[in-house]
Amino acid sequence: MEILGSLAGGFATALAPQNLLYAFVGVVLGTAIGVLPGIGPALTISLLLPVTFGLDPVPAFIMFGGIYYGAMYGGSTTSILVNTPGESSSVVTAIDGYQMAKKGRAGAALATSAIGSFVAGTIATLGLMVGAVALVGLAVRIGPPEYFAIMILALLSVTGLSGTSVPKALFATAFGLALGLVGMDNQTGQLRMTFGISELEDGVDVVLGAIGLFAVGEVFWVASTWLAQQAEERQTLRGPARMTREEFGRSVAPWLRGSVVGFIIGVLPGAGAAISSFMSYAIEKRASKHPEEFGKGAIEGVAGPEASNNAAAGGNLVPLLGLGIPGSGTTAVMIAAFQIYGLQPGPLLFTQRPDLVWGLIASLYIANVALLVLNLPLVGLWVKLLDIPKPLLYAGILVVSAVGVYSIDRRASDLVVVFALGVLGFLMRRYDYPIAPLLLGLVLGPLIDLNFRRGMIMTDGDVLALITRPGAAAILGLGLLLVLAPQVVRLYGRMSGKRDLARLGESDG
Amino acid sequence: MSWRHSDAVGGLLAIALGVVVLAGALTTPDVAFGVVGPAVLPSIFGSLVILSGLWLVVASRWTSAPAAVTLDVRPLALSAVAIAAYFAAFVPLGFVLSSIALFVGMARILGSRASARDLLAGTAFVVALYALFQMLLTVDLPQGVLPV
Repeated sequence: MEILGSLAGGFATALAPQNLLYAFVGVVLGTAIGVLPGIGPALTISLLLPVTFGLDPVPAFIMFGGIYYGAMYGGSTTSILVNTPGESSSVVTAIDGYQMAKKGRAGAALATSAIGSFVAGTIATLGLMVGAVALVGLAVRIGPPEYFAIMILALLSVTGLSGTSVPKALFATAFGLALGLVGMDNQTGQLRMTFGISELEDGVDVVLGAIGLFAVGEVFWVASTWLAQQAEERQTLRGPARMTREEFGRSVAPWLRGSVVGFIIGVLPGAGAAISSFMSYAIEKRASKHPEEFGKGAIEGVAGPEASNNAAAGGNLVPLLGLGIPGSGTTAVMIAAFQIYGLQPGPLLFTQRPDLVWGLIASLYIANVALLVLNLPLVGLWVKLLDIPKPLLYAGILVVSAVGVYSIDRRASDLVVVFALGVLGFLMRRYDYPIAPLLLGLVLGPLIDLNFRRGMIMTDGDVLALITRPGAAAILGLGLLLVLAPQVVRLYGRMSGKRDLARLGESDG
Repeated sequence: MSWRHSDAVGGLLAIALGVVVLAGALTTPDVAFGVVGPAVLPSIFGSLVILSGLWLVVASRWTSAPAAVTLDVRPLALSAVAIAAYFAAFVPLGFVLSSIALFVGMARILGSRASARDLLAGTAFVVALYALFQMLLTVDLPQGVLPV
């Protein structure tokens, strides 16, 4: 009952006319940027972060809820119509969505993905509410060793699930963690790895990381593959985005299954929307009476994964709000949004700023409704965004990136850091290094450092005592399982020639 | 082992980055406050970066290099120069002028030949962005040489 009371308070905040407007603006901006090819949710949020700088925390977070869900949804339009998914979680949507579009059923594919996102978003937000409150209850009973273990779990799973090469994932993770520790040490005031450069004393902000690695890196990537890029074959949308009665009937069960799978996977730190959409696709193919239609335009292959990746986005917020631990590249950027306001998500925030936390949760419900209300009628507008000539689009992204970077601290030296990270991001992408672990490491580095050192004080410097506390040991065990399981599944996939299993979980932007 | 193998080169770069991290970690003074000093985790992370590099170099002996798309060196190099110049000019020249210049230049590098359209679109976009941030969102952008 207490939850309902808090939620009612949240709705009272979020439904204030001004806040409602911010939620709608957030959804529109998030979708508009998320639709653009090559721009995933982590980058969308980074690019839009400065828009909220002038606001008070409550409206800023309400807008953020809208941006978050809008960005998650936006990618599906691109996948269905252009077959160039904006984020890895929409890769699966492209398989059958694009085939549907080729058959002239683009409207139905867009409709099932919009309604599926709404169903999933609503279920996931409900789950988020219950899950985050439960975690907050648990959080007061766990100490630094367990926090340390959960973060190692997040890193192990994002590393284990993020691609095919273990050393490349290890590089990305370890380098990200090290980068996260650059600057002043909070506990002793010592400068670490600044090499006498005073601009590095404040550390490397995660927003710089996201913009450098994704935005600038993406522009380099586009420039370097320009000649090789063939003119894309874009499908047109004829008529309104609507499903037939039969298509609707075939979508309902996949929406519900996808929502549950997506939410559960999303809650696990490290496993992101990409994994959940792959799993949902596999489940739908197995459950379908017409598995032969998959890959040729089966509506279930769009409905399930689309519901699933949106539910995972909600699930990802559970460890973020409940424990203050981001489990994906996208939530790593969300942490930056909190930090800009001097806030640390986690159990304390629930007691200190209930208006903000519950306002954010309520605004996620509102964002969902807004998405449904806006997306189907406005789909023609989103499609128009795909008409922007590519050279202008990428030139524009660079300008917005520069504004985003500069507006954080008004420091020109941050632009140098972003340039260097852009070069790194380009090289990593070209040579197939996963980028999400680097971004996650950047955020988790300082948190791991803090909890490890606090935990070691508790155990008088005994590492073994730290990792064998029952809670910590169980969590670390789960982490090992998460790392080893996909390797086994992939090996099985490769040996038995099942390509979808062998490709399990390519990196989540 | 072939040193032209991209994983071997990547591994060497990773080792170099790891050495930089480790050097930074080991030169951090330990103030002996608490049980674990500020240099411990950076040293571990630096060592892991070096380990990943060694792993890549060694593994490149028996894996084939991942097939990479041929690079278009010219647009890549030009965009690197353009972006570096933009970031360098952002504050001294000001947001509006430097951004319009980048917009037109970048569009040209990426194949646009409609310079008049690009200039028009770039100016409209940059001015709108400037108005949004400076006036509506109260985020100060560098003025540069323009007297506004």
